[in-house]
Parts: sequence; structure tokens; C-alpha cells
Amino acid sequence: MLPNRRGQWLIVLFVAGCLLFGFPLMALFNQPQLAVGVPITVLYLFSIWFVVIGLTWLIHERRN
Amino acid sequence: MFGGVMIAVALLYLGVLFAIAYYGDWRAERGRSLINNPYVYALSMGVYCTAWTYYGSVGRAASSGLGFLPIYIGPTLIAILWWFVLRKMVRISRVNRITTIADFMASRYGKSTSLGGLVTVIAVVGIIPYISLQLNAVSASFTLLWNYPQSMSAAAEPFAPGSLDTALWVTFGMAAFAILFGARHLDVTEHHEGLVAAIAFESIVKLAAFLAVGFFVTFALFNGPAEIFGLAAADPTLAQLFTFNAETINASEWGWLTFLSMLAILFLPRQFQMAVLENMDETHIRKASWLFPLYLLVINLFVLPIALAGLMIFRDRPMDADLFVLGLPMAAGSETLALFVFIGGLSAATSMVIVDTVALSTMVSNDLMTPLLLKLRILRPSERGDYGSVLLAIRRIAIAVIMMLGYFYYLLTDTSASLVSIGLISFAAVAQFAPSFLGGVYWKGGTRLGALTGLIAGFLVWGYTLPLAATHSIGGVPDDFLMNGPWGIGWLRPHNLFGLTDLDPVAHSLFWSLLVNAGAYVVVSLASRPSVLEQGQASRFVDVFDYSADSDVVFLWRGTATVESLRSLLERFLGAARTERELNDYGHRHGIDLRKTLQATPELVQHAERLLSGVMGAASARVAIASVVQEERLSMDEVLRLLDETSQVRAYSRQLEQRTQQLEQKSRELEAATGELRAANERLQELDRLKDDFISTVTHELRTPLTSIRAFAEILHDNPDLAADRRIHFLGIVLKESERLTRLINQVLDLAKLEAGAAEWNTIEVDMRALIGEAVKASSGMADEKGVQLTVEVDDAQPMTVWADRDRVMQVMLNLLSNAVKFSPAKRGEVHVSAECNDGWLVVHVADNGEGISAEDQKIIFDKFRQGGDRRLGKPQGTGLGLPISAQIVAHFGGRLWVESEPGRGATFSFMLPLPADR
Repeated sequence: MLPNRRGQWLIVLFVAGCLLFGFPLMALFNQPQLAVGVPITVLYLFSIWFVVIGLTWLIHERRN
Repeated sequence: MFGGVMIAVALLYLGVLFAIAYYGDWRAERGRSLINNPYVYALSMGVYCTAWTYYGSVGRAASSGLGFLPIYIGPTLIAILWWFVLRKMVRISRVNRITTIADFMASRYGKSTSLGGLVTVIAVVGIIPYISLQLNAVSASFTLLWNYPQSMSAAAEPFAPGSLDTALWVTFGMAAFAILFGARHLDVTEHHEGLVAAIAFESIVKLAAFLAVGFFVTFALFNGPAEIFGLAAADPTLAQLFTFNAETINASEWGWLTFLSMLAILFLPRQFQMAVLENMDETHIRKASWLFPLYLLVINLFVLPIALAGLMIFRDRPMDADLFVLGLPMAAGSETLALFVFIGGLSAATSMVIVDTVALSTMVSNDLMTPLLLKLRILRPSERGDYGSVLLAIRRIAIAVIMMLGYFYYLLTDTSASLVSIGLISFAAVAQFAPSFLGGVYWKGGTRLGALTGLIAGFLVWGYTLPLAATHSIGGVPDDFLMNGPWGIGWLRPHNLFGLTDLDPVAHSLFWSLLVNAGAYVVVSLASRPSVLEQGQASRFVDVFDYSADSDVVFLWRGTATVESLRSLLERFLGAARTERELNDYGHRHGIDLRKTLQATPELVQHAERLLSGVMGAASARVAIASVVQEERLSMDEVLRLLDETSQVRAYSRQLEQRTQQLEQKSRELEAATGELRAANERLQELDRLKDDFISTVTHELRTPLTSIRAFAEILHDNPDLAADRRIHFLGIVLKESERLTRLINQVLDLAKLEAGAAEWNTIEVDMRALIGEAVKASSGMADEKGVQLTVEVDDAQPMTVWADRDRVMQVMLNLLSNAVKFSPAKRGEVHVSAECNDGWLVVHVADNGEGISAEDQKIIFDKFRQGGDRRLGKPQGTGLGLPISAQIVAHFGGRLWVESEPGRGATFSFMLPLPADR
């Protein structure tokens, strides 16, 4: 990843995170059902959370 | 008995914290930092997770389902931008030696003591509910565990979280601990390494304890999360916690809380302390911006399972949901785990209390009390005294007062309020810093007046809509006040200002307070004029990345002070040893011996102010410095110059300057090259001109004899019957002219060869005496013909032998002689040849008694085809090449040819040749 692109990727990730963790997108998953034994909302929130952290890691730590 | 063990373990744990802190300081003093790595940095940020997270999240989840999460989503999102925002805050704080968030704001807006004081007040008042939250949680968990096992029996009294007495004791205990720990000594170093190490350790303890109880509940009490969620899904009251709905949390509240926590993670005093002030290396931010969110994710994994398990297990027993974390292992009879969980909760609460009291007490002493005492002349820096201990005392008292205020808030408000709802009040308070803080970092137009107005307006609205309303449960304000507004004015209802009813209380308060805050900040900023100092600081903050080094400081101040007064001022706040060290360092860096200097330079005053800032904050340091220096007012010119330097142009101008320097360098090189080129060109043009001259002269010189040859040849050709004597005469002219032409061509060729260095030289020993005699003899015919008398005078004393080409030297002699004869008057002419040895040189003179050569002509006669005398007087008498050729020949042998003459008195041509050295 180019160093000057890094900042732009971070901003893109921030905007994407705000959208993913906000409404109306989250309303799509606002169901009481369980998926693999876990409520869909919980599954969605924690996996998105994990992915966002992973992408932050990727942007910061990956060498070029 | 269990209570005794509990107290013993708690004290042991606090002892371990002390040990770690002392070890951390010990390592720091030896330059082997314990905390200088990104992992400790990220862990120390875990101070974000307090008793709120530890106990409160489960309580929140039990009533609002996913409503506990936005508090952690917000920081995760803002952490993505840390590389921009936090790094800038860190850089600004490092460059300006910022000590607290109040110091940051005061420093940005012209080192304003009033703003620093206001921020301090807002921070202290705003954090008090948060402190009371910790007291609440610790005393409740303490009471619960203290009464074990009675508190677990179904017949137990409905549990009231913490009796008041317990809370008071907890307050005393925590205050004592915070004073002992956080204000051990006046920390004049940039980093509190021991503190950070201890906080990082606490982050590990609380995470481990929470994960332990999470695993215990999920996998020991139940068969994994699937079972808990499965059971809960079957119960409609529990299943509704899985989704966003009217009973749990709606989209608007979710969004507002996410936004609020984004601001809180940046502006909470303890987060500012850990993330900004204790940052050792800006690159640590990279790792922290994913490690810290990861920490938040992990500590939240089991919140919902624990909440659901608690709701199911304590279905028919009284238990505050905020205490499920501790209650569940107790109910299961796992005493050891319960104890560990209690310690985890203690670590969560103590970490918050320690860091917040350190941050707040520093604010109170640096940004509130010290400027006040300095202004009221109670503290006089110009007098002797140990001010370090005064500052320390102020900090200790501040901690005690803050803790007691927390306790009173706990008394005054609804003790049954959930932990999270209390904490959010504090979040909303620190969010008030956002407009003027972010504005100050990214917008140079923000002014002190704007910041003051915005903060006061936002703070008042916050106070009215949140904490004031929170006191109604104990009769602080009557129900009627909340329901119908003060004096029945409906649009002033604290939770429904201007009739706004769609938002929950926190979002409602946040919306109105930030609206008036940001609005007032921007409008007043635009309407007011910043001072010179403000503009300077604005530039230093906003363009901080352009000011890389400490030395790159704009001096917006000018004044005089003696080195001695500065030294004694510094000694009073930094101590003698450190003052000595700092001044020596400074002297070393700048090559000054401060012991021998009387007057302090503005740079030194500035340096002293920065050193003091590190201990007492920017605003106080400025007041303290002002007390010992004679400040001069800057003249308008200087202000304009400084403004010019500090305005936004500065960044560009620096680049431009560099560019210009490069360009100047280039242009200098270019200029030099151009100069050379120009000279070369001039030389070439000159040569070209000379060549043209030469050719045209040669052509002219050749044409003269040719014309005459041709004219006489035509006459002879056209007149075959010409008289014999005339024919002979004409033929004689043709011959003479032909000879002259030949001679001319030979000389031109000769000169060309000489100039090109292509001539052949046959260098031998030449006896000049013989040569001169020979030349004179050869010229005597011509002299006799003209009636010119030739005389020779040669020094006989020594041999006259030079290394030269005999024929060439003869050529020179003959040329000079023939010239002399030619320019001597007929009949009475006299040519005198002399030679002498002089100082290693052989000098030959050929003197005539002709008309002489004018000064101008003397300059040109050695040029090609240039002849002296008046050109208008008939045709030239020579080729104009003789002297140039002779000069070339003499020069070739290392000699020189010159002329001395006065008009009317004849001319003397002389040349000198070097004699061999061994003679």
C-alpha cells in the first residue's frame, strides 16, 4: 500500500464504518432470529466490528 | 471472615499497583522505559473501560439489549482516524509542553488563564458524576461481597446498592489511594511512566477478570452461548433484547450515543492524559488504533450472555442487573472467582479514579489555582520559597475535594440510577470541549472569546438538561419542574427544551448543548478579533506539522530579564538540580556560558517559559514569567512582521523559500555558467571579428600589389610598341610588387603557423653577438641606400649565448632593423643597435631617430596589419605583419618585445631573451 494512499484508505474505512454501524443499514439485520445460535443483530455487529478492526490493522501494518 | 479476606486481597492488589508504579519510575530514571512500546500504550488506553464497562454494561444490556454497544463502537470508528486526529494532538502537546486538556485549550487561545480555568471547572463538574459512578459500583460490589453468603439467600432483603456508610468509606479509601498514588510527588517529567505501567496492568486484570466470569457463566453455568441465546429466544421479554425496538434502543439513540462516545474518547481528561500526554512515540498510534478497539471488542464479547444469564438466574431473586457480573459467580458459590471479579471491578474503578484525579488535580493546580494565586499575589514567584510543595499540596487537596464532590453527587442523585445513565452525563459534559478543541486544532479563525462563549453556553445547557434534572429524585428539583417546566413555562422543560420530544434525555441534551456551543463558538469567533498571541498560537497549533522542532518557535514576545532571576524562578518550581541541568543543556546547545551572561535572550526566556509550562501549564507559566521579566510592547511593525511569519502563508512560504533557495542556487550556477559562456562568446565574437578583419586586411593587402602588377601587365600587354626603357621600368615595378606579394603570403603563412603552434623550431645555442653583427651587415645595404647611419654597441664583457632558433631570431633582428631604417629620415637618419646582459636577460635595443610613435599607435603596432602613422599618407610601407611575427617569436623563447618612444624623438624597439641559467 502506498504511504500516501494509507490516509485515504483510513478515511474510506471510517466512512464505511459509520455507514455499517448506523441506520438504515443495520435495520436490514434487525431480526429477532438466531443464526448459528446467536441473534442476527449480535452476529452482524460483532463480525462487522471485527472486520473493521482487521482492516484498520491491514492499512496500518501491511508493508507496501 | 470472608470480608477480612476480601479486604486483605484488595489491599494486596493496591500494593501490587504501587510496586509496579515504583518499578516503572525506577526503570524510567535509568532510561529503560517500561512503557515505551505500542502494546503498553494501547493497554493504558484501556482506562476507558471503568466500572461502567465492568458492571454497568451488563446492567445496560439487561434493560436495553444492544444499547451498551455504541459506547465502544464510537471509539472504534474514531480510532480509524487517530492517525490524523490523535497524532496531531500528540504533536501539538509535545511541541507546546501541554500538561492537561485545559492547558491545551488555554494555550491554543492565547495562553488564556480564563479559558484554562473554565475548562477546568467544566472538566471537574462534568467528571463528578463519573466519579460517583465508580464509588457507587465499588461500594455496591463491596457490600454485596461483604454480606456473602447472606446476600445470596432468597430471603435476603431486596438489595440496595451500597449503604451510604459503605460509600463514604469507599470514598475515603479511594481518595487516600489516589493521593498516595497519583500525587506521590510533583512530577516534573514529561511522562508519568509508573502510572502508565500500573494502568496498563489494571487493564490486563480487569479484562482477565471479566473474561473469566464470562467463560464461567457461558460455559460452566450454561453450555455455551448458543444455549443462553436459545433459552432467551424462547422468552419474549428476553428475546426483545436481541433487536432495536422501542423497549431497548432506537436508531436515533444508537446514533447519538455512537457520536457522543466518539467525542468522549478524544476529550475525557483521562483519555487525553493517556493517549496524548503519555504518548512516547507517535508511531505507537498505528498499533493502538486497532489494538485498542480489539480490547474493547473482547471485553464486550460476554456482556450480552452474562446479562441474559443473570436475567434468567435471578428471575425470582432481587438483584441489581449492574451487579450480575459479581452476583452470578456468588450465586454459583464460586468464592474465588467472586473475589477475582471483585478485584477486577476494583481495578476498573481505581484506574479511572487514579488517572482522572491526576488529570483533574493537575488542571486545578495548573490552570485554576496557580494563575489565581499568582494574580492575587498570594504566590509570588519573585520571592524565595518552595513552590513545588505548594503545587503538590494544591493537587492533594484537589483530589480530596473531587472525591468528596463525587460522594455528594452520589448522595444527591438517585442511587438506583443505572451506572451507564450516570456516566453518560459526564460524557455529554466533556463533549462540550469538542467545538472549541477541534476548531482550535483545525481552524485558525477560532478566538478566545468564541471559545469562552461557546463553552459557557454549552455547559449551562448541559447543566440544565442533565445533572440538574437528575437531582429531582431526591427533591433537588420538584417533579413539576420536569413535567411542566420552571414556573410552568412548557418550552423550558429540561428534557424537552423548546418542545423537542423525540430525543432521549442524553441525545436531547447533547443536541441542544452542542448546537449553542458550536454556534456561539463560530459566530463569536468570526465577530471578534484575536490578539497577536492568539494568532501566533493558532498558527502553531493548526500548522503544527510545519513546525517540526522545538527550536522552530515564533517569538511573539519580547522582553528583558536577567539570567539570575530566571534561574531562581526555575529553581523554585523545578528544583535546583534540574534547573542547573536544564540551563547547562541550554547553554551547551546554544554555545553560551549562562554563568557569565547577565541578560537573558528572548529565546532563553521562551525556553524557561516552556520548562515551567511542563510543570504548571502554559497559562500559569506565562504569568510566572511575566512576574520576573520586563515585557516590551511589540511595535506595530514587528507585529506585522511576526503575523506575516505566522500566518498560514508560513507553510507555503517555507516551501517557497526552499524552492527559492534551490532556484537561487541553480540560478547562481546558471549565472556563473552564463558568465563563462558570455565571456567565451565575447571572446569568440572578438576572434571572429579579428578573423574577419584579418581576412579583409589580408585581402586588401594582397590586392594592392596584385592591382599594381595587373595594371602594369595590362599596359605592357596592350602597348606592344612601348619604349624599351619604360617597358623595363614597368617590368621592374611588376617584379617588385610580385616580391612584395610573395613576402606577404609567406608572412601570412608564417604567422598562421606561429599562432597555430605548428611552426618548426630548431633550437640551438645562438651567439647573439655574431648574430647582431650579421644582421647589421645584411641591413647595411638598405641603410646606405637611404643614407642612414648604422651604429652598433655591444657589451663585450661576457658571452651572449641564448637558446633559440637562429633563423627566427635573425628574422626578428632584420625586421626591427628594416623598420628602423624605413622610419628614419633619409640622409640624416641614425639607427643605433645595442645589446647588454642584465639580470639573467639578454636585452637588445634598436633605436632610430624618426618621427616616433604616438601613445595610441604604440598599443596597436603589435597587432596584425596595423601600422603606425597616418594612413592617409600614401600606401603603407610594410606588410603590417613583421612586428606581430617578431613578438610571437620572442614570446616563444620566453622573452618579450616592446617599444619606447616619444613622438618626434624617434623610437626604440627592444626585446629580451632569457640567458641560460647556469651562466
